Amino acid sequence: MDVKGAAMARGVLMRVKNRNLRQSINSLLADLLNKGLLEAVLVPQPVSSKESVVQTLVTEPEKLEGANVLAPVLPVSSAQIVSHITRLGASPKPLGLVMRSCEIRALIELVKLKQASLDNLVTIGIDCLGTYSVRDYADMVSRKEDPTHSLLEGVKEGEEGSYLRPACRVCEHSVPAFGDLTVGFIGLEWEEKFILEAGSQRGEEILAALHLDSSQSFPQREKAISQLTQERTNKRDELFSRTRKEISGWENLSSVFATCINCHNCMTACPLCYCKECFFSSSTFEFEPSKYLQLADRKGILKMPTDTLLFHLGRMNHMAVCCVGCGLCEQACPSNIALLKIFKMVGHQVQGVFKYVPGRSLEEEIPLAVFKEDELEKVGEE
Amino acid sequence: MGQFEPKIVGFLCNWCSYAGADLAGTSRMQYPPNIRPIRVMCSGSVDSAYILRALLAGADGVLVGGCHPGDCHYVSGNYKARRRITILKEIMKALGLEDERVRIRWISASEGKRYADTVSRMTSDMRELGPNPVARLWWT
Amino acid sequence: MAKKVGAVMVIGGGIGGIQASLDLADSGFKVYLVDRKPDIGGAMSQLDKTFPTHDCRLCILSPKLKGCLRFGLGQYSNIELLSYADIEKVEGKAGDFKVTVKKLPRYVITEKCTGCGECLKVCPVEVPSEFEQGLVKRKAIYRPNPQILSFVIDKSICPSDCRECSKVCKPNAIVHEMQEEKVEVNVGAIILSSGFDTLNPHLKKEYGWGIFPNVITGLQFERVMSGTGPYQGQMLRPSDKKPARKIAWIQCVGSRDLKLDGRSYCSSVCCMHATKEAIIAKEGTSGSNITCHIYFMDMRCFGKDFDRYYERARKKCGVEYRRSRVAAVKEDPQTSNLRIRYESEEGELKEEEYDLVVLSLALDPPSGTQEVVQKLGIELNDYGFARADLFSPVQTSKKGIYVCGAVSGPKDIPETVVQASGAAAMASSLLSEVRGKLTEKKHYPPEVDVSDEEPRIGVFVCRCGMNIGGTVDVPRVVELAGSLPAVVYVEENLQTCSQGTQEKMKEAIRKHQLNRVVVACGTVRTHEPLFQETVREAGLNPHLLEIANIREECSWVHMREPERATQKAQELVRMAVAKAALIQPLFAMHSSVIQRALIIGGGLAGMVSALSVADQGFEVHVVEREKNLGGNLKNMHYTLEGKDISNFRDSLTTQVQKHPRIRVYKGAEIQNVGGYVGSYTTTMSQADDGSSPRAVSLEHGVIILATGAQEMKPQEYLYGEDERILTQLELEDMLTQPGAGIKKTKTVVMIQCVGSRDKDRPYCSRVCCSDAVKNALKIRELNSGANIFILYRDMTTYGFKESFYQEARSKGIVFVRYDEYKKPEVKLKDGVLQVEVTDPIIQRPLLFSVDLLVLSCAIVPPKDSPRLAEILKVPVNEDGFFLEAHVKLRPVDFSRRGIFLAGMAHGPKLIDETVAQAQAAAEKACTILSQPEIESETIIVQTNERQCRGCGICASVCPYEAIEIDEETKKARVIEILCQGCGSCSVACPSGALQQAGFTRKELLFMVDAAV
Repeated sequence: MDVKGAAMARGVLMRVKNRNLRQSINSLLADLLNKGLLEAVLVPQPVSSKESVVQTLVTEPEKLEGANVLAPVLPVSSAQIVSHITRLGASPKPLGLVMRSCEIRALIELVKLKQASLDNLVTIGIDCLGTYSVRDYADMVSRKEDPTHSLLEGVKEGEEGSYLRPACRVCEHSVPAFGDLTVGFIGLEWEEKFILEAGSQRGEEILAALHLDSSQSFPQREKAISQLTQERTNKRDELFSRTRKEISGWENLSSVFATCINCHNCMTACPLCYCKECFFSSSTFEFEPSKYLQLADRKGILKMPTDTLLFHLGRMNHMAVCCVGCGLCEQACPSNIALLKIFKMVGHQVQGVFKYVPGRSLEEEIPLAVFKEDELEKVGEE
Repeated sequence: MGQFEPKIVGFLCNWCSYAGADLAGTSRMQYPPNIRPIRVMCSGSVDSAYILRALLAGADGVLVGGCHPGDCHYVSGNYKARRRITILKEIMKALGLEDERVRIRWISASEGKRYADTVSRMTSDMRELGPNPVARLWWT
Repeated sequence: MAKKVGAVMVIGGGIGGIQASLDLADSGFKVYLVDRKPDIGGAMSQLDKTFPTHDCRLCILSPKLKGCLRFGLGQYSNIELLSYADIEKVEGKAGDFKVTVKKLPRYVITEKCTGCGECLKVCPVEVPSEFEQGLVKRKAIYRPNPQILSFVIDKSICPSDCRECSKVCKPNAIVHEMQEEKVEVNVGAIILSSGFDTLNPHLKKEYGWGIFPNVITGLQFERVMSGTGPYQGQMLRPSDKKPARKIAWIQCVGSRDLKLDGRSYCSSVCCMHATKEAIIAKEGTSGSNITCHIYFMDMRCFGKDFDRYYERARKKCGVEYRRSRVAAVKEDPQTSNLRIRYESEEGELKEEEYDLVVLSLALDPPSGTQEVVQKLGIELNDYGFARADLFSPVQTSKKGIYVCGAVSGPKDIPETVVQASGAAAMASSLLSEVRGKLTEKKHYPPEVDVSDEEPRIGVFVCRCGMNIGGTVDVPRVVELAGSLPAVVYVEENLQTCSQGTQEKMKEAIRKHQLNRVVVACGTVRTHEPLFQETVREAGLNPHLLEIANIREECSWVHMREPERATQKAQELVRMAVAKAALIQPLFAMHSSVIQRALIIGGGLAGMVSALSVADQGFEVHVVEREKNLGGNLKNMHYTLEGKDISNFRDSLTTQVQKHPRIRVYKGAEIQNVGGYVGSYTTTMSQADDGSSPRAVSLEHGVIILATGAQEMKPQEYLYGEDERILTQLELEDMLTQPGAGIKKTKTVVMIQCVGSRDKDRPYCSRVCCSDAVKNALKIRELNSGANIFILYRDMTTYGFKESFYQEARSKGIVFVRYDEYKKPEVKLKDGVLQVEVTDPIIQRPLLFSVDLLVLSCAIVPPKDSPRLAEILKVPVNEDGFFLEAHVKLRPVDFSRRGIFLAGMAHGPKLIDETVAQAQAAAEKACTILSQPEIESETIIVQTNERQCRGCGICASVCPYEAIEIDEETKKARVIEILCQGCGSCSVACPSGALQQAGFTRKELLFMVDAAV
């Protein structure tokens, strides 16, 4: 994919029909299918109870009617779905993916890790104000609220839902920085208009095929985005400094993780934990009975299951450099361990050393896969 | 009660640091018996999980010994080690986990003295830092 | 047919002799390695670090030493080491020599000596230590070098009525009555590799060595710098052991010296050697405060990356170079400081004071060369070095006897290593039909398969006399071992390495059905090979052994804390047992070899290596891009020494074209290379004789890359704008044309370093100074009246070529130096060709009107190199030359196994150097071709496909291109034969799909558990 860079490129202003942004986006996607520009699109659809959404691969335009790409809930990262589809080879036909920023960033990392192929894929990024946890979303629906509407309205009123997932409250990437196309509504009257931006050659070709001229710029939108980013960055930094106090040191940290039941759900939900079988659940960690007793003997007491903190620290070592901060690990934890703030903070620090931003570009090499002769010279000296 | 004697786990690369430790031996250089050396083929084959496991088991320090930059028997293993240790130490820093307990040092086959000095220095530093707090905790 | 013997004697156990021995043993010959000294390793074992990479000499030397010292064991059972031995008599002829070797008595039984050092405490006599270059003393009983465990006795100073050492020697290793022993050895060829000595510094009295304590030699300074040396690596000076803050190096002490008889040659290595010492002094702990001055005549930085190194010393490290010959050194008796009097380049007389003065002594033929060559019946050259043939630089004057390294002329390490392999190639060619006749494979009992058995561990704890038992409470270690899970047998021994105990150990393994063995003893490095042999003889896989090093890492270093040492020993045993319970048998993988070589390039290097490989009995494909063989030789006519190149070239090309085992593809270009060592498939497109290109596919086991380099066509000095301006090659061509116009020429100016040693090409092109002198002398021969000027920066006529520089000067050829910042200017004024240059001595511009301007142009790599590098997956350096695996010790190898490098593709070089390198590459190739199958390392990485997700991080960190991601299955595949077993990939893999055999993650984690 040839990407031109930041999404704050120029775009084209689109009209929202019937004050229904969701339907307008759906009909745009249907248009892409109808014109043969895409053969299928990956979109979330509400389940029959409406209490959650699932990812669907849609080939028939009419099946897009119910889709809700705005639904503020993220049961699974679509990056993982794309990896399922394309790990063994490129998609044979043009496939559109509607993805949030964190999903696209995770996808870029997975592509670098050879777990997905971008060939023949058209990434359609969409602005994201945040998502509710799966449980909160379901609760809101059962209270007959429309989570999509209330989030968008809330933002318009200058307040964002206090139910947003912790990851989203501190997310600095509301707008996808990478995508063939981007659907944007932040900074616009979202019940009246949205914009469509091209971020690559491919995206421009599609706009041209739709006879859209993407030469407008939207200073107001840019301002709104930078304001939102700033607010959330501030919140993120506050969170980091709070977290540092809370969890610092072996004692605090280990008590945070003490309730871990070693289910590895965090790993299953993490779009970047691409291992088939986690090293920490491999036979390396299957012990003879005598070994357990030996370990118990060391301190006279042994927490079961063992090696939970080792698992989390080990996982951190493997993926912190690539962590996109989506927070799905925390959403998946049955013990309600506040994983996001820890992983995000650690990721931020490690990525900083290598000036690496996960998901920023396909060209930047993952710090674990490369090394240089002339770097880090101080490590290894007194 | 005597002074606190830290326990240090050492991972020594086969070609340089392990040979440096041998030379310290044949030269009868005396250093404190606080290190438990483990021979590995290359500093680039030391998994962070080993280091974490040592710390979680209560080791007071972990030393990784490799060939000097440019000298790696396997061309570039020490550069990889340097990155991995950096990542581990940054994680530890972020989590306030006393990253000074983990050190990587370049010790060549002819540097018996450097090996002895490194172990002595690390022992006294760890003594000053005090026991690894993990040793007191059972809920790790 | 005359009888031939499949064995070779190598005389001299320095780096050259070691390399030749390893190559010969690897390619199927029995080797007798003889050294006069009680140890092997030669001069290199005394060096601290080596230039220009600052490799620790030990780190790179010891793996090779280990190969030789493990004689009688496994792979290198075919090298028999005869150290502390002299050559007595040589009879016979090429193919069948009889050599009588006199083994000198060591008076210590090596196998018994434990190196405890008790004897040192009682020995009453002392002499200056040879190894430490006299900076400290040694006893009559001593360790010849610190890496060696066992002692020898120097009888020349041992008082006959003393015998104190025998009394304290616990293992009874000392035998004062030991007699010398004569051994008769039958070999097919002999390689002389006896190295060099340095000039006796007393011959240069004006520098005061031996009188002023702070005047030391370069080798002494190496010992000063060395961490294992007498000052533990601190830059102290001998007189008062105070830090040396200001150091001077005096170059060319006894080199290029017409005042001393037979010392007009250049010693080739000292410029870089002194530069290295100065850089290390500057980079040391107190480095920034140390002032380093080097007094020199010309800086000769002609080797690969040498000029960069010199620039680094000058510009980055702040080493100051002073172009001046030092007249004398005086001492201030008060301070023991030294005063150097010298004349600056501008002619001013100056004086400067130093704490320490280092003499860069000339390299001499090694002492005793005279006697050895007499016995061998070979000739010496004018300087007392062994005479070698210019076109066959490792061939002596006698068939079947070859020479390598500094004994045939001063040389640095890589050139010695290259010549060593080259000499091995010559010996292998001579003896190719008896290859493998005398080598033996040891037979072992069949291995019992224990992989599925529950571990039954036997622990053998050694007291090592007092070495372990004196500090560690061994019975307590034994007691602990007995309490560990899976341990079924424990034994305590006084001397585990002794033959008797080994037998007992084998018996215990059988009797108690042990399937894993732990030995707590000395270091893995010396003891693992020994005990692996023992367990193998007891029917176990040699890798079912784990060593706990409780001597070097415990008893010897914690002598004052026996209680804690005992605890540590217990834990080391606990750790070893934890690992032992998990270890599995390991096996080398085998891969078949297509016994045929592909040589890319049909120039000098390509042709010589083709002939060498073919003469060793293997088929060769030579691929040449051009229509004819010969490369640069096609444009060259004579050498500096006056030898005819055209005849040499014609005879080479004829030999190559007529050789029954060589097939030449001309007009061919490599398109693709697939496969790996042992079985490559190469496709090329060939357009012979103007036909349209067709694809040809070849299968072969190895590749020699010999694509050469060429003279650059300059972009400066008005080249191409006037027909009076030529390059050296163009001049050479003109000089050989009949009726050459040179006879009428009045003034010739040559400019050196055109395109070399500048910003774009910061390297010395090595050949141009010799070429300029050669062509200047030729012009003088043809036209005695011509005025010839050579404008140069540093005349780099190294080695014996120095004499031609002297000859040129004596024949009135004028050498004018120019400064790198004030390059000569060439102007064309009204048809007059003018050259202006500022002479730094008189500080005035000189103006020449010239009839002929000759440019000594840089040697540049071919444009095609990057493409070829990509196809072959081998690296090029910043200058575009191919980059070898290791600058010092693997100068013709690539990291990628099975591909070798020769000739100017590696860097600029002269004919004899290219020939030696081509032969070396051929030898390396033949070490692979000579076996139908090659073995992988045993410690390699294994994959678990089920766990692999094909992310490829492993492949990206592998330095050996040994991992592929299968396109179909998306799984990583280890090419075992290429894997060197570093294990870097195994920890890069987050899934744990890769495991390093012998060091699995589980084994390591369990060791950690046991340690804490």
